[in-house]
Formats: sequence, structure tokens, C-alpha cells
Amino acid sequence: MLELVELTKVYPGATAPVVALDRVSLTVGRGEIFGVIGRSGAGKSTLIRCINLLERPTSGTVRVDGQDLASLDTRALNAARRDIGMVFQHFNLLSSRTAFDNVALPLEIAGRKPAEIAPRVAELLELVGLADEARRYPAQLSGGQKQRVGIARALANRPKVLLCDEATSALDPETTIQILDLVADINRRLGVTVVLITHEMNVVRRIAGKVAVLERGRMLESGAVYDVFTRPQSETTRSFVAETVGYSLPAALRATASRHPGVGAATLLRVDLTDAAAREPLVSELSRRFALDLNIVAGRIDEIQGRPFGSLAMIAAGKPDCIETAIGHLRQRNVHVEVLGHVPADDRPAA
Amino acid sequence: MSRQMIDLLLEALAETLAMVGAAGAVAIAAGLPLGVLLLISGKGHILENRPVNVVAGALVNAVRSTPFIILLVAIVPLTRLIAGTSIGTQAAIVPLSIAATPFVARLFEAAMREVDPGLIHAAQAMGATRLQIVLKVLIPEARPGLMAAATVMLIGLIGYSAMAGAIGGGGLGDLGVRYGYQRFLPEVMAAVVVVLIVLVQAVQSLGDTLVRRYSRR
Repeated sequence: MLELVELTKVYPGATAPVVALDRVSLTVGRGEIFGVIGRSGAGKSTLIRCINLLERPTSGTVRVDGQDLASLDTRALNAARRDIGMVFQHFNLLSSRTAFDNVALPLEIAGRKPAEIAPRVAELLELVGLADEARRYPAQLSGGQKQRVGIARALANRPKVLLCDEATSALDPETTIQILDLVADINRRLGVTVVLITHEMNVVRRIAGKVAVLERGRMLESGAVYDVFTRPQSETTRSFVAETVGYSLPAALRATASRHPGVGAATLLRVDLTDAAAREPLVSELSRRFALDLNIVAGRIDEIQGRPFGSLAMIAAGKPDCIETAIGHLRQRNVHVEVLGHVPADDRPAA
Repeated sequence: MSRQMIDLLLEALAETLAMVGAAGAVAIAAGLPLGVLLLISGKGHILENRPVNVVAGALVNAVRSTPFIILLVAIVPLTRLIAGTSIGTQAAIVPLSIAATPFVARLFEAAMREVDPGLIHAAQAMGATRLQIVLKVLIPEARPGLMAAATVMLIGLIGYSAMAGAIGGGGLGDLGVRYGYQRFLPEVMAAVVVVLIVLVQAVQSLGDTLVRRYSRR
């Protein structure tokens, strides 16, 4: 549906040129929700604005539904843009128009007749749950309501692609969830392909199926959200994962363990729980089979795409060779285990 | 004040209103496209064109730097060409329009510059043409500011129109100079000043009301 090939954008900087995007390639399938995550300054905004050519890429190709946008003349580009809806962080609604008239704007621009516009706008406001607010001006609406108007407006011309540029970043957490669920619902009902950029892991985790991680204009990794976040390849991705499933070990315990690397009679382990590992009674199995006493000291289990995902830190106490065997057993079953060190009896921090 | 004086005052008021009204209408009609051009031909805007921007800007600045009393007589040939005469109320409308147009164009430009660039991006993302962006986004969104600008321009025109007497344009200012000053009739001068104050107040109040009415922010 959407294909970016070797997309590069260079801005003439004050001293040296600034590379905002460095040969970014990605493909978004029809009906997918594709998230692009990155810290501020990673190039996300430039990337999404290159998709509808609000920014002209320095080099590379943007293909939407097979059409190379850069090759189009102004008239054809304007027609192609009607197939790409866009939702903005700061809503960008016209303050002089009511909610109804804001949603009508793209239809007016597309040259539709007023008789066609009115029922379509009513239908769209219904879709986003704002039928009762049609006559209100943006200044009279809450942030969440404004973004609903923004979404209705973006969908007016029945686009094939919906671009969300930090669409929830100006909203409070509760409203963010409502707006994300609305986008996911629209994606299911209308089959529209969604590309969203964000700096929030929770946004990607909640609705995206695929994700690309962007840093300093480069794409670090991409793939199915679950795979990328359960097997992060880059430090940036790991830090995003830590934001949602992160927990910190008690500092004294971690210090003690790091002074005594390797396995001992009481070994501090971190076990990543993904898929199967999270569904099985792992702890009691280890305890029974390898005669270990397991003491969970920290942990968090969450969900990505409805699949369990998390990690536990525990102290395994028992015979060191039994602990080794247990670790081997877990690894054999593709469970990621990290030995953080051991805690000798005479150096155990006061609990 | 004599009946005759009141008649003169009313006549002068009518002349002032005619000059300010006609020149104001021309200035708004010509100043809005000129203001749009000044804005959108600027750097990074939707019709970026440096030569056009520089020439339009220089022209506007040149007219605005010319003192009105000089403009009034300097363009007499043009006035004659347009109005058919170089004296009288009708003739005065020509230089008044020419002075007010670049003035209000700059004010319009400034008002439209205040429109959030994000709205222009949103319209572009919808596939809007440049004309659509101007007509459906820039002008409607700047409407309160445009109205405030037009109000300032109309009040400026009331002041300029006092000089129209120099080419026989009549009006309140002319009445004040000829009767109040040259014939030593201070009560006429006072009456003229009072009428002008009331007129300016009325225009300002009307303008403020319209600005409030269209402000949705």
C-alpha cells in the first residue's frame, strides 16, 4: 500500500547540512497499523511529512498505492493527497469554522456539492462520536473532541491511508487511550491503512501491528511489534521497552550481585517472559524439577498485541550445579535468561 | 450656530463620508489581494517568489513614504485620467485610495501572517490549491485581524481626507481650515473637531464589534 525506498532528507543547516532522514526504507501493507517510534529529533515528523510530500525528500521514492508521488504534477499530487488523510498533534482545526464545517473543508476542497457534503459530514461526526457537537467551534471543544474532529476531517474523502503525526501527544493519558481505540476501530471498520508516528511506547504497543524504530534519521529495526520489542536489537529499542515493562532491582541487591558474577548458591537471575514462557508455570516447575527455592525480587508482566510480555528477577537458591542445569533447561526452551551474579551468604544485603 | 453653518457642517460631513467610504472600499478591494501577494510570495510561503515580493514590497514602501499632501498634488495627471477632473470630492478619492491601499495591504499582510502555519499544512495535506488555501484558510482565519486592520485604515483615511481641501475636495477638515481658521470662527472649528471625534469613535466601535463577533478563538 505504502512503500518508502531509500528516503533521504537533508536540510541546509546553519553550519553543516542536517541529515533528517538517512536512506529509510519501509513497506506498509494494506490495512496495517504501522507505528514509527523515535525520540524527538529522530526524524519521525520529517518521515511522515514526506509521505504526502508536505516535505520533498532529497532523494528516494514514496509510493502510495503504486503511485510515485514525486513524479506527479501539482494537480495530480493534490488529487493523490485526497487519498491520504492526515491527523496532527495540535489538531490544526480552523478556529473560524464549526466542527461540522471543519469536517466539510476537505470535501469543499475536493469540489463536492453542498448536497453531498452535509450527509457525509453528519456520517463522519457520528463515526467519531461527535454528532451532538456539530455546531460548536474548536475553542468550545476539549482536546479529545478536537482530535475526533481532526480524525473525521482526515477521513472525509475516504482515504486509503491515514497519517497520524503525534496525534495523541497533546492529550492526557485517558483521552489518548480513547483516541487510539477510535483509530484502531476505524482501521478495522474501514480497512484504512494507518501510519502513526510517536515517541510513546504505549501508543505503538496499544494499536500498532508493525513498528519501525527511528534514531537520528536512521531506521534501527522494524518488524512485527511483538518481535521487535521482545527481541530488541538496539539500545534505543531496549530503552523504549524499558519504559513499559521496565522495573528496577533493589540497588543494594544489584550491587552485591555485580560484585559476585556467575552462579552461586543464591543466584540472581533475570528471566524474560514471552509467549510460551509467560503462559507456563515456570517458577513452580523450576522449583520442583531442580530442587530450587525461588524468590521473586522484582518483575513486571504486560501485554503487547494481546500477547504476554515481561520479565522477572528472582533469586534462585539451591545447589549451584542444579541452578546451572535449570538455566540450561530454560535456554533450551528459548527462554532468555540472564545471570546477574550471585549473593553469598556473608554478603547478603539486609532485606 | 446659525442654520447656515449647520448646513455647511452637514454638507462637509457628507463629503467626508463619501471620500472615506469610496477610498476605503477601493483600498480594501485592492489592498486584500496586495496583502495576500506580499504574504504568500514571501520566503517559505505557498507562492514563494523573491522578485515579486521585493518589487511589491518596494512599491508599497514607496507610496507609504510619500507624505499625503505631496501625493495629492503629485499624481494630479493620474487623478484627471481616472476621475475626469483634478479638483473636487470625486477627484480626492483617487489619491486617498492610492495612499490607503498599500497602508492597509501591509496591515492585512500582518493579520494573515498570524494564521497558524499548521492550518496551511493541513489544507495542503487535503490537496488544496493555493487559491483554495487563500480563500478558505488564510482570509477566513484572519478575518478578525483583517477587520481590525480595515478599521485602522478607515480612521487613517478620515485624517487624510482633511487635506483633500488642497485640491478642492471639501469635507470636514477643509471646513475647519477655511471657516474655523482662515475666517476666525472658533465655534466652527470646535464643531468640526467634535464631529470628527464622534465619527472616529463610531468607526472604531463598529470595527471592534465586528472583530468580537468574528473572533472564535
